[in-house]
Amino acid sequence: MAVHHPSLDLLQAYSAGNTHPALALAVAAHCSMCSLCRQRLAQLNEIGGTLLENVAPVELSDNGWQALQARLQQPEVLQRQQEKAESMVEVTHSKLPAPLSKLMPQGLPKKFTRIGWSLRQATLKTMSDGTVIALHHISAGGTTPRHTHEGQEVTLVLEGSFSDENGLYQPGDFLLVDEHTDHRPTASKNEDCLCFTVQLAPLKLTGPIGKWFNPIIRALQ
Amino acid sequence: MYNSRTRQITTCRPTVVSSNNNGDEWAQCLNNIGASQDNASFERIYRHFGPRLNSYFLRLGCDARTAEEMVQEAMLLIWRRAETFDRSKAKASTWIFTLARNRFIDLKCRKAGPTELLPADDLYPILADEADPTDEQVDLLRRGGQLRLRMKELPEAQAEAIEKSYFEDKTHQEIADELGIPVGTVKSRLRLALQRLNGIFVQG
Repeated sequence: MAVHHPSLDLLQAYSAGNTHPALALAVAAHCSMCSLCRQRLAQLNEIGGTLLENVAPVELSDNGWQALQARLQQPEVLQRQQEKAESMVEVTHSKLPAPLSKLMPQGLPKKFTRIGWSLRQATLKTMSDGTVIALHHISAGGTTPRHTHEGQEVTLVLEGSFSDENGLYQPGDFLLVDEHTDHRPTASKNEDCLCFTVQLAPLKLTGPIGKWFNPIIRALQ
Repeated sequence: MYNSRTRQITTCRPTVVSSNNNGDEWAQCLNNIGASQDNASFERIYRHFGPRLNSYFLRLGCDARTAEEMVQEAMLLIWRRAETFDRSKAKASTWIFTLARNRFIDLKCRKAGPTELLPADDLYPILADEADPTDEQVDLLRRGGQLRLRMKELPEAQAEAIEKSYFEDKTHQEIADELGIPVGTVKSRLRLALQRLNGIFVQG
């Protein structure tokens, strides 16, 4: 059961539909692992539903209903069974949270690139604005180089656990840090740690050894 | 109200009957569509929610033609997905809102180019719980009518922040810039509104 959750501010923005797509994916993945946030999200969505009930209606053109009826006869609309299967999301019985399995239909990537003594990265997607969606793997007991961030970075623990100055993070835990955070995650001693990460801006390493990795991280991105 | 016998003040709770019935009415329509492709129920949904969705898309910044096209798209999906609507988990209007919201997110992405990441329905999925509805969910549905009342009682500044976020597609920063106030103030207005509306636990 997750202990670290997205802030209410972030959940609210997500519910209204105005978060960065990569951030939205991370929130969706967390929610699929966290019943508390599913609950909160249901409450937030309800505000949207209530606004929709209260809004002053604007009449549609007269032929709207006829046009809709004509479109109901088209073959695409008849595929109802398939639609049902797609919109039902498998939350349990899957190693990957359902929203992430859409991004990785083949399962976890086979190839991770070493970017530190105990840190490996598999980039899943680099978006046109520079946002990087990736998996990070920290070996049991391993420590990542001390680093700050130029922008927001989200970490969602998928397997194992790590800790930093602020606490212990276990599967389902969601951590959002910004440029003011300088932290040094360390994986638990008995188990490797696998995290889903979204970097909304490039990372910057600050430790004496970490600085050396900056060009490598840039090259990976 | 002050009770002179017990010397206690009890709060007077208005009971809302009509909106609860409405909720059931639309949920029933969706169930009818899902179970038997009932066109009469579909028409009722269209006549009620069509003009409201039109208003929603217009507020989000769509031109009149696009807004009507979006209403058609949303309505087709309501028809196709009605089977997946679970009235024990959400109000009909909430389900329709999330479905319409996702259509708008996809429209935004289409404008920016080919879908870069995933379609909105994968980024903003309805996460199905197979378990029975929790007490909180049951409570949420029961309180549907109250939420509607409380929305009208929100202080203007809080209602404005909520509306700009949900109905004008503005980020907290964009709302702050538009109103000429710090982003922290926008966030605290939203949190206060959420607290009043839902009693959502506000974390640090």
